[in-house]
Amino acid sequence: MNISGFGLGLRPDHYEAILSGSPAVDWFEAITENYLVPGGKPLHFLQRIRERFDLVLHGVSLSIGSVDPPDLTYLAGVRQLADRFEPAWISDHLCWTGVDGLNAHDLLPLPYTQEALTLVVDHVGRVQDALGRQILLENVSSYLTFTSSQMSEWEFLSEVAQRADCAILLDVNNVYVSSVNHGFDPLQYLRALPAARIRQIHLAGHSNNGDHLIDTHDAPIVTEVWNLYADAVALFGAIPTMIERDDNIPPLAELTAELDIARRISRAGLTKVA
Amino acid sequence: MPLHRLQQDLQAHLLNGSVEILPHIAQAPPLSPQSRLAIYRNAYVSRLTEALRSSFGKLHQVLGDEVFAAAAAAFIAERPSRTRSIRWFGHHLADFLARTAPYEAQPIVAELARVEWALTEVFDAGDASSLRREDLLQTAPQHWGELTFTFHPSVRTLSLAWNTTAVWQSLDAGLTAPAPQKSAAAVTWLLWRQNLQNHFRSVDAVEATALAWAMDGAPFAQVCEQLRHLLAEEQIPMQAAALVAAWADSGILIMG
Repeated sequence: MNISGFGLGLRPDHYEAILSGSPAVDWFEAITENYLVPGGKPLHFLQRIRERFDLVLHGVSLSIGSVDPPDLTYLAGVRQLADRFEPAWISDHLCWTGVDGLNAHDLLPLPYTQEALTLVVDHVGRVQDALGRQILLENVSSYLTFTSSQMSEWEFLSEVAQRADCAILLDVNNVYVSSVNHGFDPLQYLRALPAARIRQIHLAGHSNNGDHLIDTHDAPIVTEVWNLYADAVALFGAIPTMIERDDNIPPLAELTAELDIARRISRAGLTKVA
Repeated sequence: MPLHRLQQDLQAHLLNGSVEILPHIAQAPPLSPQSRLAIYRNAYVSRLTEALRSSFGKLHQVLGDEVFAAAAAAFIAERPSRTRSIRWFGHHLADFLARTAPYEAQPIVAELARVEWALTEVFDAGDASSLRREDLLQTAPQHWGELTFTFHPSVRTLSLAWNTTAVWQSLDAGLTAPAPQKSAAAVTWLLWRQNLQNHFRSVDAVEATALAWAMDGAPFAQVCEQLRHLLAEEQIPMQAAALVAAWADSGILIMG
């Protein structure tokens, strides 16, 4: 199964509005962990929404870059969820969330070293085997880099995708946030990516703390990120695109209006390329 | 530095502020490596605190921002998360509050946490089709003695010594919570989910006994037997049957 068009992150605040209206949303992205529960409201609403909309699953705790081995119990749960809801695909983040059995519940940065590359490639292979499908890995926002890094983030991400044969979820806001925090050219990042592997795009707002940006998903998307999205459309074409909002969640109509901006930018970009 | 060590050192910084990782953070003005680490450390504490606030909204109201944040920080420091989903992070908070100063001095604090956590479990416990009262009538009267009961996966019972549920209900209604008050004897509360809604109510000594045995798998005759010291002999069958019928009406019984 494949999806196209423009989606939104599925949030409980919007369950009723989604089901009682006909929102101009082509698909929803559900946070995997929110539905790895035995029953009740979350699964009830996911079922009803799935009956009307296409779906992708997006995890936050795969911890693909941790030296801890992939958690097969977790993966079995994800596979079961996927068997029930038939998402177009499953994604998570190129990061680690904890080590030695602990979970910091954060998307922590990796050093871009050969050792980390080898480990992540091995883990992606095991995860794809356990899930029985190709996964998408998303670039995260980061606030520090390690002295031991031997390559850039975009080189690391591209190498992981090619060697492990996985796809990429390109978070345009994260590229922008990290470009400001680390002083690189975001366009150079985009140009270096293997275009054929980019399967989905994330857009989101962030908070500006003066000398650094934080990926907070609590505000509308800023002009600079829209501009970078236009660059991404020019480079990669019509990639399924969605908006994530996790805090200060506005009414659904406000997010579908923001999604219309993405539609316009995409249409304009595609016309220009053609 | 091996990746394992690097991850342990960064994680240790998040957990306890250890600075072993500092020399391995690249210098990149305008932010210092310390400031860069602080972004992660602050996010770690605030994310987990927020997760607790979301699971324990009434406790947060009772304690206020400052005390709640202090309690959360102490809990986070003592019990780093081992759960996949942040939704389960508050699992041991009630136990922590029950045995940690200064919260242990006010036992209703831990009890309120127990109630709120039980409600989060009720909320997304497994689904199952409930029995109806009519389904019970399919069993002929002479076979009722052997009848056993299976309860909906959402069903929980709590024994509460304080007016904790009154506090919960007042706060839920937007009212000022009553002062903490210890009950003369502990009261059993029944919590469950019906039609996606959480419910709870107190149960009297008779129902508490019947529930405890029925939930333990005892057949109806044995449940009745346990009520002998609480009810007159001739009242037992009717009262016990009425309880079972009320359980069916509440949706807490399912097909065995």
